[in-house]
Amino acid sequence: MSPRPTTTPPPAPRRTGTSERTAYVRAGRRPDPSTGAVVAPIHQTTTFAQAGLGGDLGFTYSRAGNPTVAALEEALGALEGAPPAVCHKTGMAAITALFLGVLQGGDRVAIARAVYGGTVRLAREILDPLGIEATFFDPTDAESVDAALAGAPRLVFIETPANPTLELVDVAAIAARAAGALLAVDNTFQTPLGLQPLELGADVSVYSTTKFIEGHDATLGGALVARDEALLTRLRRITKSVGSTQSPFEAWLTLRGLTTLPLRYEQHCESALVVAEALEAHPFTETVRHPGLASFPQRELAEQQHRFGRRIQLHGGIVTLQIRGGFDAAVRFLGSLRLVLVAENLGAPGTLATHPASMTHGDVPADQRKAAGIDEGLVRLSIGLEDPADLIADLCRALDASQRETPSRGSAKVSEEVAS
Amino acid sequence: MSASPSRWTTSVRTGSAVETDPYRATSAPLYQTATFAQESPTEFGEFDYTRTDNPTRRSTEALLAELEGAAHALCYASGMAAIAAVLRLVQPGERVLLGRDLYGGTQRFAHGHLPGVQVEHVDLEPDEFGRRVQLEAALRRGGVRLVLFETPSNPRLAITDIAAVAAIAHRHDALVVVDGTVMTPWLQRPLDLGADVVIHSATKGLAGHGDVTAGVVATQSAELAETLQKKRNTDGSALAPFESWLLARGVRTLGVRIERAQATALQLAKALQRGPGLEAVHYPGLESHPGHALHQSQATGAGVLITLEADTAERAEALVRGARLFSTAVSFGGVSSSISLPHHMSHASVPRGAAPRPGENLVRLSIGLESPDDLLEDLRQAMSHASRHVVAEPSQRVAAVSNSD
Repeated sequence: MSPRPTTTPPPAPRRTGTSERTAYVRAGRRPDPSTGAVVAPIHQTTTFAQAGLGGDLGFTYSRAGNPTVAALEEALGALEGAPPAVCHKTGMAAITALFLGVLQGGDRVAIARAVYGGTVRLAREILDPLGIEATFFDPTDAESVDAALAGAPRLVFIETPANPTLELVDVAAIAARAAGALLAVDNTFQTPLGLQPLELGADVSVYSTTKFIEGHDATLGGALVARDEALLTRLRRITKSVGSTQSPFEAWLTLRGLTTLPLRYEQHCESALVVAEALEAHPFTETVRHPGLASFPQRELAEQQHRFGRRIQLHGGIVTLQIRGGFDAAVRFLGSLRLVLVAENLGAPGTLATHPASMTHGDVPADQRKAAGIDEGLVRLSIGLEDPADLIADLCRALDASQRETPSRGSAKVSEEVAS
Repeated sequence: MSASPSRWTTSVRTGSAVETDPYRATSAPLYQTATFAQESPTEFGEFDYTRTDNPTRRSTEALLAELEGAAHALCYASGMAAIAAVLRLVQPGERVLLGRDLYGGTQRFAHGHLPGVQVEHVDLEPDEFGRRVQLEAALRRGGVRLVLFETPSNPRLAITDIAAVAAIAHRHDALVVVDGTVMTPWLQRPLDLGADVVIHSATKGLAGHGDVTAGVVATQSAELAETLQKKRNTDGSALAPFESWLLARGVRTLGVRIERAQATALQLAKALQRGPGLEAVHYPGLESHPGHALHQSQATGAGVLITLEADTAERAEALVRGARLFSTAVSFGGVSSSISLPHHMSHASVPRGAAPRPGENLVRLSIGLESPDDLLEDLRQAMSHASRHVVAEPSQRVAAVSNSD
């Protein structure tokens, strides 16, 4: 599959350099000193014996720190030219630690209106009872940004491309305006390959490593990357206090995933564009979104903000579509897929289809979903590493089936409760 | 409380996959997966995303619930994640009562991470007339959401009457939460005695091999379990599949490990009573322990922790430094024995305004599965080392502080 020939790359985003790519394979990894094993062992241990009192070798208890987890933390930090990251059990545990680590009762946090549903739920269920006020704003609208910043938030939280609308946020522009606040960017969709939030002026890069970074649909994990040592110390401390530290085995698997991330991610991006173009040409799709498409509304920002891989500019592996016939057609479409699996998660080797309104964003109130542009008929695809031709065949067949009036296998009753 | 013989069967059979696994595997498979594909976009299967629920974690939870005699058990990423989950049930404006002797991490969380919540430490022991005046008075002031304590407590191994405290707290609509880590459900089942919630750091005796960091919350209340599950799904603090699998694997040998280690512990505790420079040996299995009878009435064994009270901080430190077979390490309840100074290690993080930190002269021993003779010999040589050391040279102050365990 050959991607669209890219125009001359603009100078702003730095091309992925050799040393950076090497870091994906080598950072945080060194041969085991006792055996020479090139893959360091998994330190599946809770405790570290101390050579007498105060004689620990840097590790005492795995909730506070573990060599396997530390290797992952070192690697993730190195990918953004930062000190070791702070890794968590899940992406949501990372966001929880960020919020609880920097916010106190009476503080305000400004959150972009289109973010992962779990972040919205966190604001409502955990921040609100603590007296931390969350305001949701439109990061693409200067007035809305200014209104949110006028409340002097301690933290500004954005996501780009937003889940699931793929709306882009100009990170450098927000960073310039939000000078008095900490700026956190959920960079799960772009990974450090496609976007370097800290370089653009953000204070914290947030990741669900569950997605592209581990990339094999086999672990849950989260990470916070920052340059400020005092901030990192606070984040480490809250992580230890609430006990949401990543586990050794999951850290080890994530480190394995990191090794192939540049290869995988570029393929995800390339295939996503090919699939998006095919879907766009299909008569039964009303809207197809992918930041690499010529029709993408924020095309200019995508070209300016997203970094380049070896072959192409990295616009991510996610494609969204609106099918003619809205919700009912989307249900028939999803019910007709054979190769593509209907599942939550994204950034996995296999292509996954999600219905955000009932699945990933089911806990977001309907009016808030609407304001964020999450239509009830919207379908999110995470394009995997299969042959794109097979994917296109399956998706087009399901699109054809979506227009037939035969009842779908499931009833149209969508539970609000199951959303993860 | 008498030992229920079925726990031997429960611990090795519950959560086995024979009935559900397509290959009838006797050891449940490890579902190391983040996601579960759905058959239909509108009707979801039992599992969709591992943060919410996972078959491996669920089967471990079923095992732990049955051992605990609980209707529901939830596994967390660590003991602290479990404790934080329960303490976060308390809303701003409400109050929490804590026992006086409590793990340092619990105190750090309660005092540092519950904004707007009033946290107080109260005496839970009765006075000479059998009354708990301070507890009653604190409850009468109103607004207490929960009372949390450990029995035996860590590290002083003081015993609290679970049924008596539960009866008083329930008159004031407070939840009774027992951190049962020191006992594990093998030796004590607080829910049977009237507690509403039991928490464990499963890192300790339950998993028992020093290779898993994990926590458990168990309760009879479906409502409480549902609230905790929703919050856990929100903050992403559930236990990972591999850790869940290792935890269940550890529980298979819970009985044999604990019975063996506590038999050794009793033997050592008796021998140490005559140790040089030791002012007291705290072990609930000793008849001299003030809570001995009470403990025997609510538990089926005295456990694997022994706390020594040395005459001076210097001797305590020298004793720890002199031990060779016992490793100097935080955590407890593992297969290998460890020795620690709670003041400097597990309880170093106790914040100001909390209960007083354990004295510098306390030494905590966690007894594992080594030969009792070897362990005793090591303690004897450590004590004679300490006697020489304390006389010969002044102690070096401990510089590094460990916040763990």
